[in-house]
Amino acid sequence: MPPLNTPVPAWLRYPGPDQDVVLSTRCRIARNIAGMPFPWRASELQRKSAAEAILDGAHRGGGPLSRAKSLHADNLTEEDFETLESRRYTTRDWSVPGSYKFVLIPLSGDLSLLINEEDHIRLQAILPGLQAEAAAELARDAEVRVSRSIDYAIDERIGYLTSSLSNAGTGARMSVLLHLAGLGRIQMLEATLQASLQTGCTVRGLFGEGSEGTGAFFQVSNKCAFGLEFRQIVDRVGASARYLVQAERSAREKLFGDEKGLKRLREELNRAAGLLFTNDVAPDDLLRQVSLFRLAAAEGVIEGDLTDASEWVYLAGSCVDVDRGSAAERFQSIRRSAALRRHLRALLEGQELYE
Amino acid sequence: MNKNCCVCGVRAPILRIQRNAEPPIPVCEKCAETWLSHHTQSRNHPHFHTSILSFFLSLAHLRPRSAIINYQPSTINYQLSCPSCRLTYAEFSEIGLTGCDNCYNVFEAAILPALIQLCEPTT
Repeated sequence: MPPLNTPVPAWLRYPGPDQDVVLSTRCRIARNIAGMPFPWRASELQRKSAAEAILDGAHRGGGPLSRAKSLHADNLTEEDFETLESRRYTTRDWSVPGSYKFVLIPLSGDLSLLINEEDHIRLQAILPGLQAEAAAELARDAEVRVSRSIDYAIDERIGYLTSSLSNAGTGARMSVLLHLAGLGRIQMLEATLQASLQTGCTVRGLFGEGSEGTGAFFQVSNKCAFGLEFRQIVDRVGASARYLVQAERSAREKLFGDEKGLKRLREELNRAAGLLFTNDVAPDDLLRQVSLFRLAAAEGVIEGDLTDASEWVYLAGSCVDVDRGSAAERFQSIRRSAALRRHLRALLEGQELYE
Repeated sequence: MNKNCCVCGVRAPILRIQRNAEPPIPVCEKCAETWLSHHTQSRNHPHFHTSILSFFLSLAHLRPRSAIINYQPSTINYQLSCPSCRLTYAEFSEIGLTGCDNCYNVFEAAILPALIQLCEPTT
């Protein structure tokens, strides 16, 4: 079968604000159709009915989703699922077998609409860098357009009703993905993350807990969707992210603000590069290397596109659980790991790391 | 202990609703009258006391920090099921997902406190 033809996502295509520290910003909105069982509880006929209503609503609503490419999960291969997940258009939950699952992806590559995931509708906007307001605006606009043809499940005390209580209320999840390698190195990570929790957000390591196992990639997001207005959630996550960006930049200035610090970074990079050109690198080590290379690119020690670096992070992260999956998943992980090592080698070739 | 009514957040309470040894919920005279005027027919209902809680929570418009903490509704019937999607309370407790919008009405007494607890600050 021909490879899946989907647009390159915006978070991989364009640079974004504060990209030295922030990889991407995501706003996800969950909605359900009133009077219809949620997908996991619905019959096949009910799921079909929900899908048809949402596809029709998306088409009638105008805007980017009305012209979007629609993919039916039943027509996708394993490789297609992997491509969609790696581009963050879909989630692992959506890829689990189930009837009448669709995804709509407009050409802009900054939005996707999942049908019959955990809720009937999961809209998400993902933008490069720190763009909380823009991501929220994009997702909200798409949601309002769909709502013109669909009655959402809503309660006047709680707000929008979702399958999981953690999403009930606004149905909104804002998250920002940050690279906090500097804070980790000066032992200020825990204290800084703790301070950021004052805004009511939650922070977690993207690929596990603690700074060592994650490559210092963290996701800050709103703790719950309930009891706050949508605007408040956007403001709080944005404020928390901006605080972390400033703290990380201060840490990097302390570490690499002089020639001595930059020299240490070059030496560390050189050692890592040596490992990269040998045989297989363990998945955890690969993620740490990606973190180092990204940091080096942000500090100008190597020439590297930080937009490309976002993809490295996801490739490396997807290899971390290689031992726990099925044989097919392990094979895919090994393939991604090899592809990532080729990217990084190509990046390093011709670059002088020592003066 | 909260000084003001948990519903309006303004007036001084005249009574406190308490279950076992848990922290009491303070309610002022006006809010208590409002509730009673809506529920004079309900006193013999088997879920009367859970209705009290859910009503006050709903009137409080979810002022979570002034309402109760750690409410455990032991009187919920585990065989209670949603007439729309047939999800039972036992299944909901185990799986942790609601089956449809009507579940929020049927399991209201458990869901409202759970939503508040979810949003309690961690620091």
